[in-house]
Amino acid sequence: MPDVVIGNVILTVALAIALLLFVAASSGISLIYTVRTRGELLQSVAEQIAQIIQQSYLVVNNSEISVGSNVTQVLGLPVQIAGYGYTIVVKTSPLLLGNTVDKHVTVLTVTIALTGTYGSASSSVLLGSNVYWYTQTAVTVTQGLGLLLDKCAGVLPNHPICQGYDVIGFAFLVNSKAVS
Amino acid sequence: MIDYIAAAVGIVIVFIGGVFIFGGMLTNGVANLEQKNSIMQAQSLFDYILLTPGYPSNWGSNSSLTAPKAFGLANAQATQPYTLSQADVMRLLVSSSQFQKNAIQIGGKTYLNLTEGLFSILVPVGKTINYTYVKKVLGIYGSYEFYLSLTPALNVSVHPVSTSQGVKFSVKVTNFFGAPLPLATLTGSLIYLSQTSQGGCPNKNGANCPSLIYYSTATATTNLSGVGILSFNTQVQPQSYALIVQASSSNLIGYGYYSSVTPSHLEAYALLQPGSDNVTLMQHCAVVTTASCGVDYFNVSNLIQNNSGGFSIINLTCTRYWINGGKGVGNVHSNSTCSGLLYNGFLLVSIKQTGNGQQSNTILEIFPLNVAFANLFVNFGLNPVSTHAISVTTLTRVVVISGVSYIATFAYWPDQAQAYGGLS
Repeated sequence: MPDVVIGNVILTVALAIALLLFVAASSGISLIYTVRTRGELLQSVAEQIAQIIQQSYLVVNNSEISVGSNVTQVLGLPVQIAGYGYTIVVKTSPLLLGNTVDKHVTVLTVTIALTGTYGSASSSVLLGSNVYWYTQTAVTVTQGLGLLLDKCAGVLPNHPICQGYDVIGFAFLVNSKAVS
Repeated sequence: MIDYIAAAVGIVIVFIGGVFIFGGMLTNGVANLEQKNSIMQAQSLFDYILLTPGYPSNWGSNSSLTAPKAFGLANAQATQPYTLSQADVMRLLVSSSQFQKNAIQIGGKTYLNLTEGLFSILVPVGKTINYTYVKKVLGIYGSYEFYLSLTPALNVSVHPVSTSQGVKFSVKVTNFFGAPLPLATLTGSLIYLSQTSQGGCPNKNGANCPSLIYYSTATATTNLSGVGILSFNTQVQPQSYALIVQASSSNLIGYGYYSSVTPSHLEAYALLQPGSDNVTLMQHCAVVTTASCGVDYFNVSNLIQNNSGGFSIINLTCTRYWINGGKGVGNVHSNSTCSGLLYNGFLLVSIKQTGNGQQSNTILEIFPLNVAFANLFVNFGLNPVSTHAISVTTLTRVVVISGVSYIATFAYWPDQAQAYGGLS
């Protein structure tokens, strides 16, 4: 009879320990999973935005698209990632070759950051030297967020996007207006 | 008592095992997302390479430029996307490891011998593009490796069929994976020599004028086995004819060839200079051991595709119309430079040996002036198989080089780890 009691006690304790271990471990793993999944989702969206920009550039940069043309497109991005809204910042810089600057290659970096919680990711793509990114501020992603591309000739000094440069000007469009 | 303790340990082990399995499942989920992101990065870089011309945009044809400021292979003049510059591809080709070992010395200079099947072309060394430098201008130096290859989309093999009258060829067309292609349209151009001169000799050598170059065409369609027969009612002499076949199927275009003269029996080499309008014919008796050296007279023509899908033959102007390698004694080197509308077709050489006590029948040599026509396999970068790279992302695209369809394959992987997978 005492053996049965002791056995029950051992099994109960073991069960309790196992439950605690399982709950603690699964909770920890779930947290890590959530953070990593969120990071990868953010990365995925950043890659997607960067690719849209690069593909748009490659299309408009083709000689078949005449100078003076402009193209607008809705980005179709999700307005929330993992239940949170987010913002986009785009920066351009020349490529660095060690200590020297290669002005013939533009590195365009898209950084997205969740609003209201921790989480950000960035993605870079390569473009030609003839790129000017007009929108300098962080843009909150909404349903109708779009992209404007202007293939400028450099003869329009007051052009709102290209500002007189012989470039392909980019800007985010919010409510059909270019964001500076 | 021992039973209870064992049961308790068992419970704990089962729970801990469950946690590990659960963790593994979640890790796999994250790994899938990482892989997806890696594919997107590779796509971005692959498109940048295939859709931008680099800087300067003519870097491939600028033979003095070995470090372009931006790396891209697109043809800057092309209106269709995924159309590559043959000059850029040529630069990758001479950088390919399989041709670097084919260096030969002629006349005190070093050349690469690009021999593939029936073709043999010489190009100067020193025009290679450094892989490490390319990684730097692509912004992936120190973080990623890549491997780029270009393979003809169609494999067109040509074999002569014996016949009592005229000449026939059996042409087999297979796709990139080796499957036969039925209903492919074949357009064959038979290039042949004939003694019946219909005008003055282009080489102005009078009695030493080699046979003149003519061509005729025939068409056919492949059967269910991917085989078609091209027939010509033309009498040809041994070593005096060649066939160029264009195969077209589902918007893919490929070329196949037959030449009655193999590369080991050439009497003159053709040297291409990237970006140059000249081609140099040369003989070097210390190198050309299988062809007898001597005084060789020749006519040179450029075979150019015209707008109607056929060809036109244009005679080229050369500095002289003979080369004299002597009798192969004393490392003799001789050359002649010809100019014309090059890089857009084939170089045809009608050449015969006479003098120095040596005589030969006129033979027809054919050289592609555009690497796209040569069906060469181009590879550039590190091969992930040889580097045992892990988590390799491999992408393919159909590209066009001078009207010929190629399959571009791009492998991309982090360079900090040893791993497995990728191209075989």
